[in-house]
Order: sequence, then C-alpha cells, then structure tokens
Amino acid sequence: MTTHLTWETLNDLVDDVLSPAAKAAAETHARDCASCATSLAELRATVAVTHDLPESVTPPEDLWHDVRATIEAGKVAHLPLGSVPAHARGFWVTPGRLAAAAVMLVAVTASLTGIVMTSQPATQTIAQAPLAVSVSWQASERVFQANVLALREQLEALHDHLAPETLVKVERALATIDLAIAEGREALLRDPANAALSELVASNYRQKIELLRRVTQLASS
Amino acid sequence: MRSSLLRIAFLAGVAVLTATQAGAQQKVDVRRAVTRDVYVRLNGAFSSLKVTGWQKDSLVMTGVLPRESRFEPAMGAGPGPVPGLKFYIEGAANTPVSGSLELFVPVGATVWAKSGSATIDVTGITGGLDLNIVGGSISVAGNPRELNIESMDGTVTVNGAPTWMRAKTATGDVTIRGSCTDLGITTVSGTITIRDGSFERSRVESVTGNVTFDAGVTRAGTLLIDTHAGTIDLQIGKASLDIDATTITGSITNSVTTRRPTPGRDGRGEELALSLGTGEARATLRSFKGNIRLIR
Repeated sequence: MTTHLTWETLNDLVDDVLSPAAKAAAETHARDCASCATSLAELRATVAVTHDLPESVTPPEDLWHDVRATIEAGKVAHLPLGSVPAHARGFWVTPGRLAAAAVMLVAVTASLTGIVMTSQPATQTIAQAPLAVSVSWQASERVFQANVLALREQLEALHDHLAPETLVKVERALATIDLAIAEGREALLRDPANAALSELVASNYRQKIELLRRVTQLASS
Repeated sequence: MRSSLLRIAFLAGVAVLTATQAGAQQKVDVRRAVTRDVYVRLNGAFSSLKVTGWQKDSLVMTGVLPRESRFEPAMGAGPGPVPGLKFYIEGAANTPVSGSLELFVPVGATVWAKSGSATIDVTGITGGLDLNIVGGSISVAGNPRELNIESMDGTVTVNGAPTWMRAKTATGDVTIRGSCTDLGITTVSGTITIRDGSFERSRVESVTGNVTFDAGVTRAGTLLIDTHAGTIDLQIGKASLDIDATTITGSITNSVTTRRPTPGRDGRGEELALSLGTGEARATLRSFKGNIRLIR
C-alpha cells in the first residue's frame, strides 16, 4: 500500500469495525509506515483518555466566588491592542491536541458565561474607568484569542482539504463575526458593566470558535 | 434523406451516451440484520441521501454511485444483528460529487451522516440524528430523540418534535415547525424561523441573521434570543410570558401593549420589560443594533 491510511480507516481500525481483510491490511501498513503508526497511536491514546473523562464536569464552587471577588474589587485593565504572536504552522494538527482544543473551548465558554452571570446588574452605574474591562474579562479574552489562533493554525495546515469556495464562505462568515466582535468590544469598553452587552459579545466569541472548530473538523475528516 | 440520417446518428449518440452513463455507475445494495437501536455512520462523497425509519430489524441501503467512487462498508462479522455499521464513500479525484443513496433503518436507529454539498432528507426516525453538510439542504420530518445538524450554507428544515435539538449554520437558513424540549440554534448570517408548536428551553443566537419566533413557550419555559445585527420578531399570540427586551443601539417596537420602551443605559438603544398573562414563562431578547418587534 503506497498511500497513507485515511482518517476514516484509522478510526475504523481503532473502533475495530473493519472487515478482517481490511483490518489486516491496515495493520500491516501501520507497521511499515511511521506516519500512520504515529497517527494510530495518538488516536488510540485520545480514545483512551476520553474514556477516562467524566461524563459531566461541574465547575468548583469557589471558581465563581473568585470571579465575583475579582469583579467586585473593581480592578480594571486595558484591552490588549496587539495581536498574539504566531506559532509554527501545523503545531496543533494532532488528534490529541484537537481534543485539548475542545477542552479549552469548554473552559473559555464556561469562563465567559461565568463572568457574564456574575456581572453587575444593568441598573448599576456605569464603571468609572472608561476604555477598560475587568481583569477577568481580559483573561478570558486572552484564552479566547489563544484558542482562535490554535484553530486558525490548524485550519491553515488543513487548507488544501477544503474546497476554495468553502474557504471563501468561511472567511466571509469569520469577517462578519469579527466585525460584530469589534463593535461589541468597543461598546463594552464604554460600558463594561452592561450585562446584556457582555452576553452579546460572549455570544459572538462562541460563534467564532464554534465556526472555526466546525470547519477544522470538516477539513480533517 | 440526409436529415433522417442525421436524426438516426443523433439518437444513436444519445443511446451510447446513456449506456456510458449507466456503465459509469456502480449500484449499492446493502442488506443487513441490525439491532433496533443500531448506530449507522455514513461519511463521504454523496450528493443525495434519503433516510427512512421503518418498523423492521434490518437495514437496507440502495442507490448508485459513480464507478470511480470507492464504497467501503464496515458491517462487522457474524450472521446476527449488528449494533453498528459504517459506510465510507471516497469520491474520484477532480470529479464533481454525485451519487444518490436511500437508507432504510429501524425507527430507533441513530444515524450519523456527513458530506460536502448534499441533500439529506430524513423521515420517521425516533432515535438520534447527527447530520453535517457544507452546502445543499437538510430536511428532517419526525420526532427524533436527539437531532444535531451542522451546515455551512445549506438550509435546514425541521418539521416535527425533536426532544433535543441543536442546529448550527454559517449562512444557511434554519426553519423549524413543531415543538422541542431543549432547542439550541446558532447561525452567523442565516435567518432563523421558528413556528407552530411549543418550546420549553430555547436558545437562539445569530450574528446578522434575522430571527422570527412565532410559537409557544411552555409553562415555566425559557426563550433566549441573542443577535448582533439581526431583527428579532416575537409573535406572542396568547402566550403568558415575562419579556425582557434590550438593544444596545437598535429600537424596540411593542405592538402588544401600550407600554413604551425606555432609553438604554447610556441614552442609546432601548429596553422594555413586559409581563403578559400570569407570566409563567420567560423570554429574554437581546440585540446589539438590530431592531426588536413584539407582535400580537
């Protein structure tokens, strides 16, 4: 066999649903091909790790207390204006890191939601320090940006797996979301205690990560 | 005479072309005993898939694929009913995706299907559905227990009452007619239309897509609609609802009561809180710069 095992075949091999002949052929190839052997090992490790994961995760009680304490302390910090430095292309393109990105996505979403839920009610006065958001929000944005970057790099590495017209649609949709995030952030800087606004901005963040996750999965399958 | 010869030559050409096309296809005919809750996974290059739930403990897949396609069924060994099957279709390089498949599975089956640009129609499944396309369309009729749909620009239409449903699109429009206990829909710029039936917990999010909700919210239920620039139309009917509407720069129109919206926090946008009937359910509507309309 001269071509590498497909992602589907690797999954079928791990799931043990290949026919005996196909299974034997795939295993023979994996023995002789270092690349496929590595992919297979990583896939098996990922599956093993996911089996060990709990079915649901409840955030620790003191997490929200910490978030609230941070907000109530009135600490503010300026939003970072520069972009996050780029990493090497393709760094994230492994199943294990894909799983890690998914875990990070959950963490970001939970974090943003937590901050929003513990934000001050809309009836309170607007924060005194303009053009600033809470430290917690800033931290969440940093995590969000790191996730976007990771998914972007992954997508770039899988660029050739997607049809050009699909990439155009994706970039157009991402531009729409980016514009919405920029408008939302600008408004949030003027009114950082606006809970409804925080929710709307968080919603756009989620949309962007979710879209990148979907298109990356699409490209890797 | 000459025109007759031309006509015969033309017809002969058509016949040869038809035969070539027929010869360029491979037939798919898979039949297998399966468990009632069989898990079926179908991934790859097909342009049309019709899935039908039936009251039999067997799976049948028929259809045609281009001859160059590689069709790989993985159905396990042994004669007994199998709990899971996988099908993988690899299309030929530099060839437009085609191929039409029809799949019959027990009603309680879970079907996972993924393709590029495809039309997927599903009827009569009460198990689970996980459908993923780039373009084309997805249509589901029936009451699946779980329904997950992801599409880039393909349209999504659901007629029925899934218990749990998630639909995510980039530009594809989403239309739901029916009911749902736990609903989540997100789109970047597609429109979202929800009509008829009643919904218990619903979360609807768009960036620029317009949202229309013209259905009931069950007692003690919640409806949350967030959009950045889309319009939100809430058709209230006779619903008993507590409504909390907020825009950051958009406007709110209330055609349900005489209550007028108040200016937003920093003088921009509007806010409106209403309690209709005994207010057993709650609707939260938030828009950054789109308008919100409450319509009786």
